[in-house]
Amino acid sequence: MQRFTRIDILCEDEQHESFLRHFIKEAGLLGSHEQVYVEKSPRGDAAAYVRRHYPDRLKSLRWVLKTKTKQCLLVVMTDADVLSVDERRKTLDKECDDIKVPPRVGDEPVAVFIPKRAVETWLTYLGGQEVNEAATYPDLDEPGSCGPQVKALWQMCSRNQLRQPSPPSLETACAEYKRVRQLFK
Amino acid sequence: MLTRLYVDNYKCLVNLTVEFKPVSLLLGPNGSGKSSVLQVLAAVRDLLCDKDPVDLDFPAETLCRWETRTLQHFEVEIHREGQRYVYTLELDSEPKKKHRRIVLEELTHNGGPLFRFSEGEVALFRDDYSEGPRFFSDWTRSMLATVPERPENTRLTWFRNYLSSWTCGSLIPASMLSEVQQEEEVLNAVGGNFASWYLGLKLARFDATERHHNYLRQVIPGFKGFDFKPAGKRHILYASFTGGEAQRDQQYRFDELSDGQRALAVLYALIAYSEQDNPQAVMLDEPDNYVALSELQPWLQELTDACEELRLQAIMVSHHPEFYDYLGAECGIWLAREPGGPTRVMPPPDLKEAGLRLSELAARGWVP
Repeated sequence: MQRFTRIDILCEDEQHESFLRHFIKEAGLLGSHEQVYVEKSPRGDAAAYVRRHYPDRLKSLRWVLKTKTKQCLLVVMTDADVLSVDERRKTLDKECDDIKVPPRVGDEPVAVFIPKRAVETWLTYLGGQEVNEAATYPDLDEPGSCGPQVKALWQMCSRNQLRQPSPPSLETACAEYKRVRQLFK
Repeated sequence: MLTRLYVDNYKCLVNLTVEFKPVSLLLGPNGSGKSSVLQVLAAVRDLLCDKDPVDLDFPAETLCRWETRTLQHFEVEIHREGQRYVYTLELDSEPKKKHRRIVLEELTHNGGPLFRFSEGEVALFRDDYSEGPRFFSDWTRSMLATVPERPENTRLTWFRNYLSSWTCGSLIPASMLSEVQQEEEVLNAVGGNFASWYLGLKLARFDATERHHNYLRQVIPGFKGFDFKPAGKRHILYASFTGGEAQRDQQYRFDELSDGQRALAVLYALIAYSEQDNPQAVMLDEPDNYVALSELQPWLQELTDACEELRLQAIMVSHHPEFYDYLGAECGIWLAREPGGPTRVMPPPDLKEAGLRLSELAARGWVP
């Protein structure tokens, strides 16, 4: 499997970071000497932070792909909250439009993961419970302790089958992951 | 101003040319050869100005590990008011390979000879390039370093004095003492003799001392000034601070100041005491160490101003984001090295459309 040499993560908080880093490790996306760089919202409106910084991250990814031979991937995670997954994604694209950065196109190595209502919804599902994407679920005591849930996700991913009933936003995220992997096969 | 350095067969520097500007920032990952570039410059200065034996400044361990050649070659090119000085040094091992020796040492001015040592023989030349005395001499130290100053060799003397004004090293505030036994003309590699160096400057350069104090008053709250107090045959450097709880000035020995305050005192002294008539060069490895984030850019601004006024030349190594973003695009010299291979100077990245600051690109590993 082709591995990435650099993965740039833009996300809202420590829980997002932990979830993504565990997943990258489980999936073996990086070689042992390669790097993940994480940028997360310091505090305040985290979704707005991700939205505001997304166009520049997209620009820099395009710059590095144009100038370097590295296999780079930009991973973005932002909670849908009260919006739908599609509406949240459109807020990112609109931010690009506003500053005249072309929005992401299908063959670009950019993975946008949008948990609905939040990543805690996915973690609760991956912990074995049934979930409702309109509800709010509690935070983990320690954000870094999501390893078992991410392992469960990776096992389901490997079988190409999420346990049913699954949260639709996680199904969308799995499709997003497969799309990105296809780019590097 | 130092404009060019050529190095062949020194650590990871093989057949490498580096061209310098008034302010140069050596950039690149750890192990890419940045500090080695500064070490070569410091070694050349020490050989010529401290009259060190060549084994001390260029021991056999500095030979490139994967090269079988024992010959090292160095060239230092300096421009001054339209004049071009080139110093060439070649070193080789003795037949028994225990010691290093100089096989060629040469100084030219606009292409004309000022000094030549080759095969054990020194040839001296006058300022008008006419031939002077010849004699056989020692292979184990620089003979250029020992030539007496005379009216007919002002160019050679200027070159040597210019090199002696170079400040090379990496500051270690914990090594900086308050006590002075005697004045010293050169700040040592870690700044440990700052007080001894400062004593001579402070006595001789009142205006510059006032400028130094003014700089420090802006960056160290309550700072008033430095003063020396006699203590037997020695002097002790004290810093005065105004106000505070006691409502009166307080005095601290220099070594009681924080590491950051001591570093700032040295960094601003290098700028304050620079002079247009007698330009100097500072070659600093990670001068950002110990200095607070908000204190870095004010220093960089003053430094670049001094360099633009040609009072000073600065060659620095730093990984600090503030240095990357303030100097990297204009002044960056990008070094890179394949594992186990030689250092190379890379073309600067085209940052148009990069989207991120240089430091952020570097943090992601997208530039060296």
